[in-house]
Order: sequence, then C-alpha cells, then structure tokens
Amino acid sequence: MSGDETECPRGASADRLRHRQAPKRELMTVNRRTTIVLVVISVILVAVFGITRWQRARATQVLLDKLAGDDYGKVQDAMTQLRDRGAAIVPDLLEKLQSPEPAAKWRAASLLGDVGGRRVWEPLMGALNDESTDVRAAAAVALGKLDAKDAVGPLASIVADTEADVNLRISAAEALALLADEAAVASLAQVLADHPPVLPPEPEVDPDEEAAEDAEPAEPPPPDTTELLRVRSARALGAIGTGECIAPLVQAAAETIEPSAEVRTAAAYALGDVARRAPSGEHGTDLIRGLVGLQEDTVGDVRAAAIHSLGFATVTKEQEPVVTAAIKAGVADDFYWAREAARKSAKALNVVVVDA
Amino acid sequence: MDENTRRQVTWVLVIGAIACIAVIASYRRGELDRLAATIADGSPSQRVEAVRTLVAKQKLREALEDRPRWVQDQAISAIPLVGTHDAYYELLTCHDLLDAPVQARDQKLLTALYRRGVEIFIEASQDKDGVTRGTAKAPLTNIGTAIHQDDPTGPNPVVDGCLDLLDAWDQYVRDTVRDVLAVIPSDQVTGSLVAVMKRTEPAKKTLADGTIRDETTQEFMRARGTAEATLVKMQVPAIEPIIQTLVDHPEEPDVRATACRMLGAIANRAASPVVPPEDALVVVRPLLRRLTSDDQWGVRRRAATALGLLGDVATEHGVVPALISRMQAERDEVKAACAESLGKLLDPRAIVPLVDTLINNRSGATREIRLALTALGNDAIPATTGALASLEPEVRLNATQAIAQIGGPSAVVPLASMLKDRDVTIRRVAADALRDSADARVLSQVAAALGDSDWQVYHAARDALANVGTPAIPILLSSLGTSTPRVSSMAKDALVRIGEPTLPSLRTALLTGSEDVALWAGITMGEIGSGAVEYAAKVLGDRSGPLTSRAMAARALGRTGAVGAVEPLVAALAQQEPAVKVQALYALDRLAAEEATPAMVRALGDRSPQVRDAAMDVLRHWRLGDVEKELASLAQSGDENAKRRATVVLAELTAVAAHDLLEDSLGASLGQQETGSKVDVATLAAAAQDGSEDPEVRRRAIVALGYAGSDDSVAALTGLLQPGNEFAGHAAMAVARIGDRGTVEIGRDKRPILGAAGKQLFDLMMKTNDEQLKVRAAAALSIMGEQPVQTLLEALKTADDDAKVWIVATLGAVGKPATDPVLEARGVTRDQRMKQWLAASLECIGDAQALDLIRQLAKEDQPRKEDVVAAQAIQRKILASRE
Repeated sequence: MSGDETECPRGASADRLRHRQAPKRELMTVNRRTTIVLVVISVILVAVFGITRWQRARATQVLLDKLAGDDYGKVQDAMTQLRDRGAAIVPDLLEKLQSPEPAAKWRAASLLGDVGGRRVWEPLMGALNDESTDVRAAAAVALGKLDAKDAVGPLASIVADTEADVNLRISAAEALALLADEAAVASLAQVLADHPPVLPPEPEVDPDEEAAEDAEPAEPPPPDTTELLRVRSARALGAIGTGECIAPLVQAAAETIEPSAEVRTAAAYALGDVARRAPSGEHGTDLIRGLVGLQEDTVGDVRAAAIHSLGFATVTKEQEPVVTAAIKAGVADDFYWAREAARKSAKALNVVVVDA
Repeated sequence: MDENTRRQVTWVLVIGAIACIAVIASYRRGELDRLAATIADGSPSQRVEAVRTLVAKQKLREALEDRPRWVQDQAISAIPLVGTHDAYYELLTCHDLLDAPVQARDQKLLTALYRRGVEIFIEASQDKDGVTRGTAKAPLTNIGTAIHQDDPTGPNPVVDGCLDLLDAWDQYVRDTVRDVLAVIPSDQVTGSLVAVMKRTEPAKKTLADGTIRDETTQEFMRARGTAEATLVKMQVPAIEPIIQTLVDHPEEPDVRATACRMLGAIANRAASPVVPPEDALVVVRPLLRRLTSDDQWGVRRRAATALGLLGDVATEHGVVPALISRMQAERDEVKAACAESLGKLLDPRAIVPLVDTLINNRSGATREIRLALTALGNDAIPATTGALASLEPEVRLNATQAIAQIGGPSAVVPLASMLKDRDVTIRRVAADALRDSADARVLSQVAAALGDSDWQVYHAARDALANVGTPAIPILLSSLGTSTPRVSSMAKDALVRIGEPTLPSLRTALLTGSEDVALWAGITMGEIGSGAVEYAAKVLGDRSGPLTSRAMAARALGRTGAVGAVEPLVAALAQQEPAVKVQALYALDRLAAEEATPAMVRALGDRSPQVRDAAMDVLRHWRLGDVEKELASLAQSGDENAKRRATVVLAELTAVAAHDLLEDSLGASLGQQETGSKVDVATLAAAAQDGSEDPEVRRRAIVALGYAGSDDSVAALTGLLQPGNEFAGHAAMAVARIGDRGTVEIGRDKRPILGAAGKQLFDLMMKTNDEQLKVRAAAALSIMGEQPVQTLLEALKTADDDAKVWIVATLGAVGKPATDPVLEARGVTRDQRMKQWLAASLECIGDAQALDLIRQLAKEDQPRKEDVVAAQAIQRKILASRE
C-alpha cells in the first residue's frame, strides 16, 4: 500500500472506495445482460433443437408411412433416409414390424437388419414365423446381418425345411453364411445332399440310323428348383469353414454326385474358403484330395474354381507332389480361366511351372 | 518472421499440400485393386466388407471391369450378404461387364429376391443407363411370372408397378413394361390393358401419393400405345378379352377399329411367333362381322386390313368372297384395304374381280389393286392383259406396271405389245421391264422401239436387245442401216455389247451392205476391239471387195486400238486406192503406232492430193518415231509439192509447236525466241508465193513462215498483202510475228519502235481502202505488243479523223502495253482534241488504270462518245480477225 493512500483524508478515501466499487457494479450489470443473452440463446437453441426433433420425428413418421406404399421410387428413398437415421428409429421399426401390411413389415425387418442391435433379435426371430414369406425372408437376412447367434437354430430349421418356400430357404442360407456358426453345418449339408439325380450321359446318336429318327425325344428333366439354394448353402458352409464342412462340400463338388455345375463351382469356391483356415490332419488331406479331384470335372468353371481354391491350401510335404501335378495340369488346361487360376495358385504355393 | 523465412514456410506448405494430394490420389487409385484383391483372396467376411465398401462408394462396376472370373464370382456371391437395395442396384449396373456364365448367376440371384426385388427392378427399369434397364427386365419378368404362377388371382406387385409405367415418357421404359406384362397372362393384366384401350380421351389420373390430377393427352396416348403393344405381344391370351370387350364396343368406332387392328396383328400369319391356327381362327368371325356390318367405314377398313393378315386361316373360312364383295361395293378407303388384303391372301378367285375393279371402279384403290395383282403373280397375267386394251391410260399404265412387276416369260409378249402405246410413261414401263426379260418372241417390237422418241424407251430397248444376245443380231444389223443415225447408234451399242459373236455377220454387212450399213458395221467392229482385227483385216486386204467396205474396214481397224491392226493398215497405205489410204492414215493416227511413221511420211508424196492432204493433216501433230528425220529426208528428195508439204509439216512440228508450247507454258509472248533453225525458210517462202500451189499448202506455209521466217522473209509475204488476196490475213499475221520476233529498235524515249516488217503493216493499214485488209493489218499490228504504239501515237497527231478512229481502235486492241505510252502522250500534248482522242484510246484499252484516270478527268477532257463507239466497233473486228 502506497503512502498516498495512508495520507488520504477520510472523505476522499470513501469516494475512492466507491470509485473502486463502481466497476464491480458495471461488471455485475454486464454479467446480468450476458446472462440474459445466454439464457435467450439457450432457449432458442433448445427450441430449435426441440422443433428439429419434432420435425424429424414427423418426417420419420412420414417416411415410415411410405414403407407400405407402392410408389417404389419413394419407398426406396424412404428406406435410404430411414437407414441414415440409425438406431433412433428402431422403436418405430419394431412397431412397423407389427403392421398388418406385409410390405411395411418386410421393409421394416430389412431396415432393422441395418440399424438394429441385440434388442431386435427377439422381434426378428418372432418375425421368422410370420405368415408372409417376404417378411420371414427379410427377417432371416436381418438376423444374419445382426450376427444373431441365437437365431442359428431357427434359421437352420428353415434351411432344412423342404416344405418351406425356396426363396425363404435361400435367405436363411445367406443369413447362416453371415452368422458362420458351425451349428448350422448339418442342416446345410442336408440341403446339399438333397439334389436331383445325375443323369447318365446321352448316348451319341448316329444320324444315319433310322431308329434314331423314329425314337421319341427324351423327356426333359424336371426343373432344378433348389439349385440356387444349394449354391448358397455351399457358400454358407465355406463361410463357416470348419473341418466338418469339408466332406459335404467335397460331395457337392463331385460331378458324379451333384448334377449342377453351378453348385459344383460354388462348392469348389467354398472349399477355398475352408482352406484359408488351414485345416489339419485328415480334414486337410480330404480337402486337398477333393480339390485335386475336381480337375477331372468336365466344366471349365468348376476346374477354375478348384484350382483357384487350391492356392489357399496349406500343403504338407506328402501332398506336394499331388498338388504340384494338379497345378501343372491346370496350367495346361484348355479353359482360359483354369490356366490363369493355376498360374496364380502356382505363385501362391511356390510351384514352378513352365508355360506351354 | 523475416521475409525469407516466410517464403520458405510458404514453399514447404505448398509442397506438403501437393504431396498430400499425390499420396491421396495414389491411394485412391490403388484402392480398387486392393479391394478386388480382397474379394479374390480374402475370407468370406472380408469379401463381404470389400463389396460393401465398393457399393457404398458406387465403385463396384469400376472394380469388376476386366477382372478374372473368380473375382466376379466372389463379388456376385457376396452381394446377397450385403443385402441392401443399393447393393443389388450396383449389381444391375455392372451386368454388361460380367462374363456370360457370371451374368447368368447374377440373374438367378436377382430373381431369388422375389417380391423384395420388385421395387429395385421397377426403379432400375426407369434408369437412365441402358445396361441397368436391360438387366432389370429379366428378373422382373421372372418374378412377375413366378408370382402369377404361385397365386394367379392374388395381387402381383410386378403388374402393379408396370401398369403405373404404361404412360412413361421414355420409350425404353414402355418397351420394358410391354415385354414384362406380355408374359404375365393374368386377368389383372388383360383387364387393366383392355380398360386403357376402351378409353377414348384422357381421364383423371391417381398418383402414388393419392392425389388426383388430369391426365395429359400425351400421357393418354402413351398409355394407349403401350397397352396396345402389350396386348398384341401377349397374343393368344389377349384375343378373348379384345373380342369380348373391344371389337363390339357399341359407342366408340375408334375402339372397334383399334381392336380390329390388334386382332390382325395378333393373328398375323407372318408374325413371329405365329399363333396356332385354331387361335387365329377365333378372330375371323368378329372381323368379318365388323367388315360387313359396321356402320363406320374406318372400322370396316381396319377389319379388311386385319383379315388380309390371316393367310390360309382366312382363305379357308370364307374371307375372300366377303372381301371381293366389299371391294366392289364400298367407298374408296375400304375398297383399297380390301384390294390390299386380297393381294396378301393370294387367292386366285380375286384376280378377275380385281381386274374388273381396276377397269370399272378403281377410284382410290388403283395402287392397291395393282399391288394385289402383282402379288398374285403369273396367274394374274392373262386377266390383267385384258386391261391393256383399255381406252384409259391410267388403266393401261397400272396393268402394264402389274405385269412388269410380275415379270417372267409370260409377261414378255403383253409388255412388248405396249411398246407402241401412245402414252410415253407406259412405253417406258414396258421397255424397262423388257430390259432383262425380252426374248426372241418380241425382237421386232423391241427393235422398233429403238426408234422411239423417248430416250428412256430406246435405251431400254437397246439394253433388251443386247441382253437377248445372238438371236438379236440379224435385226440389229438391219437397224444399222436405217436413215436415223440414233437408231443406228443404238443398234451399234447393242451389237458391241453382244461382242465377238456378231463379227461374222458384221463382216458380211461390211462387204455387202449399203454405204451406211458399211459405215456403222465398221464402227461397230472397231468398238468390239481386238477380236475384230482379223475380220476387218481380211476385208481390207481383199482388193476385190467394194472400195467402201475396205475404207470402212480400215476405219474399223483404227478404232480397235489393237497393235495387230497396224500392219494391215501400213500395207493398205502402200497398195490401196486413195479413199482407202485416207481412212488408213486416220486409222493409224488413232492407233498412234510408231512403226507407221515412215509410211505416213511417204504418204506426203502420194500420187493422190487427197492422200497428201490427209497425211499433212495427220502428221501435223505426229511426234512418234523419227518423224523429223523422215520429213527432212522427204524435203530433200521428193517432188516439189511433197518437199513443200514436208517442209511445212516440219516447220509446224518444230517452230510453230515450240512457239505454242512455250507460249502456253510461260503465258507470254515469245517475240525474241529463236525458232525454226532446221526449217528451209526458202521453201516455205516459195510455197507461199506460188499461186499454182495447193491453197492449203500455201496457207500453212504462210503461217509457218510467220514462226520460222526472218526479216528477209517479209518480202515474200508483202506481195500477198493485197486487197482481195485470200491469204492477206495470214500474211499480215505472219509479217507481224516476224516483226515481233525480229530485232527491236529502241527509240529516244527508250521505248521499242516499229521495225521494217511492222512499218509495212502500218503503211498498209493507213493506205489501203480495203476494209478487210485494213482490219487484218491492224490485227497484225496489235499482236506486236508495244512496238507499233509510238508509231500509232505519232500518226494520231496528223491523221484525218477517219484514220484516227482506226489508230485508236488498234491501240485498244494492243491493250495494256499501250496504256503508259498513251498516258505519257496525253500529259505532253496541249491539243484539247488530241487529248480526247487519247482518252478514247484509254477507254478502248479498258484496263483498270486507264478507266480510273478517265473517271477523274474534267468533263472537257472526257472522250467523245461517238469516237469511242466508232473505235470500239472497229476494235471488235480487229480482235475477231486476230482469233
């Protein structure tokens, strides 16, 4: 404290004190205004936020209402916008899942697969028993996307249910591929095993023979309605990838057992998925043997898929000669993509091949 | 921070930013490859994640372009596991990049979506990208069909979606809708489409959001068009609804007419695929009902047209009599449709009624009747031939056209009969048809058509006879000798096209025919070419044959252009009569055979003046072989006339030709060129002066002297510059050329002045009273360029007015070289009248500089109009004489 202040008369000291207190009052005044401004801003923000939420909720409701519509362009826009709203719309979607409109239900189920979490597993599993096949199919795929392990059992049952709609079973197989749970192996293997018989090769007809002209044309085989189901099941087994998947896949890839080249191709690719997990022991041997055996297939795509898959296999010393021979045969294959796949696999397995 | 540091920091920031951009760009470029590698080699979950990333970035198409089969397979397989609409949509966009087996797989995957895929595919069918639209069609069709099979009476979202797009703006979208709906034969589809077809005007339109608005006319028309196309494509399932609902629509004739058209299109026997006959039969009765009993002609017309598409189904079920009956009793439009349909049904019962209608009641249906008769083919020719005798040109024309279009052997005789028709169009049609089909039966009529007044007719007749070939030769030979050259020419053309088979007959015609026949036979043989040499040479070599025949044979040999023709022609030059020799000379000229040169030069000394003249004529441009040497030799050794001829030709081949050639190439006068050094000028001068010499030889000698002579030669020419002398003009020109080429004297003002030869011409022009001679002298002066200008200007000062007009005209004919001297003279003179004469000269010269000056002159200095008119009249004569 300076000497001037101690010598200052009493009245002067009081003025100075008042003078000192004046800024404090000004400060208080500013603070009050600021406070008011801040309060107003806060109220505005809260109001804007509230209005926005309210508008968003209304917009969401409008979008949800569109799920039942038949203007497909608007339905797709609505689904995209609802998907962007994320988990916030889950309650509304669960409500829609109970709608009487099948279209709204399956679209809600489909959206739940994209934005839902564990809490929607149960409603979706309930939807697996819906009257509408579309709703069940959408619920199945959604459960797969949500990694709902609890749904493996019901989905496996659907896949194996030969009375169920084939498109529903395909969706269930796709869900099982996403879940990749080995509990589904048996059901999927059962699907693969349920295939049409392999037809004997048609005898070569001599055009000169009169009998050939008189012979009635053979009746065409019935359409293979489960071909795509078997394809997707094979893919699902590949995604599960355990040793138990190898045997059904090898069977499904064999030309003598499975008549569809599409299924055999898918099984060959699936064996490649299994091979990535490096199965050991007997499984590994079966896998290599199975893939090498596919080089005898008459369809180029199957051979290409098999030789491509062979490139992921872990080859033991004992298996090396067989694998090397298969890859060298692949390099000489008359199907372009089989040759290309063989070169790629040779590189992956360090097998030296010489191009013809 | 100082300036340097700040600058360094700025540079570091810029470089850093560029590096960041490069790194990001590099990363993004490599991203697709990394994701494709993950799809190929990753685990199933990694694959799904990679595909999801590509879908989110809308890069799936880019990532799958030119990738191995396994990458495509694995990517397609992962799409259902991503499972969003976007993922399926992306798959649609890259369909065309996939290998065919993978495309088949992706179609199966998309079809498996069943109802859940409908909205994706309906949206995709309206995409701007053609690949996306095209890819969506197959799964949409499969799903629609499958839903219909699963529940034929239940709602079908594919049908609903497609019906909403009936009036889509884009034709591709409407085509997709048509293709999809056409394979879903549900009552919902047919009912909805028939409902659209029943409407005749725009109605209210309910939008997807429930609002209602007026349908636009365009939307209505598009919807109707799509509905009609869909029902037609649907074929059998659409027949019954159309018959039940539309064909007998009581109120709207437009609906009934459209229904008739649709039924015809569905049951069309030429359509692909064709409906079974039993289904096509169903449409016959309703269409006949409309044809016979509808009160609207528009409907009857549509019904008639539709019935014509039914082929055997119609002919076997009483349609033809109904069409015939309506054709004979109906208004024009229906009549035309009936005739058209009868032509399509190809029933012979329709032929006679069609011809009758053509003759008696063709109004508004002429074209259709003609086309119908044409379609009915050969069977229709006898009946149609009856119409050729009609008095009406239109009937005859259409009958002729029908027969012409039917063609074939049975059409030939009727068509030939129409070659004499009064109407040129009919004759043209008949002749044109006979061009390729005429045969031996109609040769006389076709040959007669060679004399037709219309070029299209006689050209077609010529072609027809040429195409008939050997059988037409006699009649063509007889046509060669007609009095009309054009007929002979046409016959010649036909014979030339028949070619070598005509040669024996032509040889006979050459030997035995009249002079005209021999002439044309020779021309024909020549144009046939080398094959004719043997025949023509035999005629030429046979001295016992007629003279005309041999002369024409020589001519023919020349026209063949064959090497083998030279020898008999050279032989003929040595042995034959003058008339033959003359033709041989011209023939050799045409052949341009070098080996004939000595014989041709020898012909200059032939006993016959005709032959000498012909040889001179030919050799004037002959530069083959040692022609100059041969000519020089003859100029030394022949008789006087032959010497002179040889000298003249030699001068023409050397001096004159060299002058012309150089003048052409340099585009300028060649006054000082040294030419004609090898030419005996004295011989030329003697020939020019010799009044007993052949006039043509004299003329050419004078001309040659102009090019080859010197100042000494002028004396020889001066004597010819007399009034009334026929060679005065040529002599004047020759003098001028000599003067122009001779030594040029330079005057005080450094301009050239006239030499001795030129002065003679000037004196002649000024003194002679013979206007013709005056003109020639002036013309000769005018080609000497600037030489005579000073002399003319001097004379202008003192000459009388008549002579001044000639001087002014001559200055005008000299042209541009006279401009500067005239301008200078005008600047010097004080004489006002002189100035006017000089101005008149400038006007006659007429170059831009002179005319520009005249425009700027004062009025009193302007040329007098009468002077200019008089001078220009003379100038025109001078220029004409110079030509």
